[in-house]
Amino acid sequence: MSTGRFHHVALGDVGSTNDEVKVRLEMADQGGLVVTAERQMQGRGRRGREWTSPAGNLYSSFGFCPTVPLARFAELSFIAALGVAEVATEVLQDRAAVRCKWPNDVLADGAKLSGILLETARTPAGRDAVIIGIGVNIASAPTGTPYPAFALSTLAPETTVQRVLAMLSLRLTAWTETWERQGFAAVRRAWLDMADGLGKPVVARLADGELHGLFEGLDDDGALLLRQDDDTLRRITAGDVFRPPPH
Amino acid sequence: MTKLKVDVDTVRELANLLVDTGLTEIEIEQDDIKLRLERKVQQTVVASVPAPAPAAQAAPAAAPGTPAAAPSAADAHPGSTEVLSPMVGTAYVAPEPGAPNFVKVGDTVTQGQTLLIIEAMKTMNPVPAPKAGKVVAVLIENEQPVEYEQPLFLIQ
Repeated sequence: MSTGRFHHVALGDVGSTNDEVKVRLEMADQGGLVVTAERQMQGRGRRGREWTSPAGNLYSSFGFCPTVPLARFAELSFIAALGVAEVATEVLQDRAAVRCKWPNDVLADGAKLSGILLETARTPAGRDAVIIGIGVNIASAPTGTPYPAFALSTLAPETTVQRVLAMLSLRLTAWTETWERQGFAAVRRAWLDMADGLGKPVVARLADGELHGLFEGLDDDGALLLRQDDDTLRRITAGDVFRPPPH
Repeated sequence: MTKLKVDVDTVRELANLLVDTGLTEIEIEQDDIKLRLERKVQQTVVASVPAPAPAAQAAPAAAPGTPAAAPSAADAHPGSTEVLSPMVGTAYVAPEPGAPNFVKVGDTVTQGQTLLIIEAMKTMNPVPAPKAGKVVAVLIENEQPVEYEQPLFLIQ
């Protein structure tokens, strides 16, 4: 099985695949790698949120040292989401509508099918590295989450973890190479083509409160552009974005 | 309540003590008043702030927002190194909500130790200490938006 620019390391039970990649990158300078696990005991999401990780789903973390400066690593969030969205589109074919939700959620018919969290690290030689943690619900989706969740096997029962990993690795290889050679513009366009709720009302839940407005687009660096009710344009780089609940 | 209980003579005495002992910094706490003197090459800087309640005995370090954390803090700490933000994003001074801060003023840090996290687009970027030393100022608040190369910490 080819995993593109990422050397594959398959593990059983781990704490978190992101930590496994981080340790390896900080221990020795090396080429790209992807660590997968059958289960994660301490899978996590943004700001300490738990990511339940039963067997049968993909738990993967991709690590490499981009040729792009660290200040732009956050652009990889969109590459990760695009990769997952393209894989899901191919796997599901016309069985569900796959969309991207800012910054890196992927939805099938409005339900979340993956979780993506990126971290940065530094190699012994002082090179900046990135760890792209990607979980994809294949066999099962969590219940009791604050949002609806989706598993690929619901509509595409033939889907295997191995197949998704192979497809995703090749997508990420292609997109990261395009990004390194040509910059963010192509990624941004492709992501916007799959964006959920573009031009529609959204609520941005930030650390210090909520903002309401229209999802106007993506800035050149990936920040969400929110057109507020008083017509001012606000850049958002961190937070959760939702469609407003129906009244 | 917030009337200063330390008089000018006390400050002068402390300032002399700083010079006599060769120390660069003295911090005293009395009731709800915290008084800190720092000595620069030829000057004495006086910073006085209300101490944050009795519980502060357990954690006497200055919180962000004290005079030491003012943007001009770099001038007050000659020889200190500014730690700059490597990206545009949101600053988190603790690993997750409710957890203790990575570091606080007065802490000694080792090179490479994480000082804070900058998040942009769900990319978590731990900012390491560029050198070993003492944290003399925290220049940002938790969850504050930061710009590229904005000063975050001073390390001496």
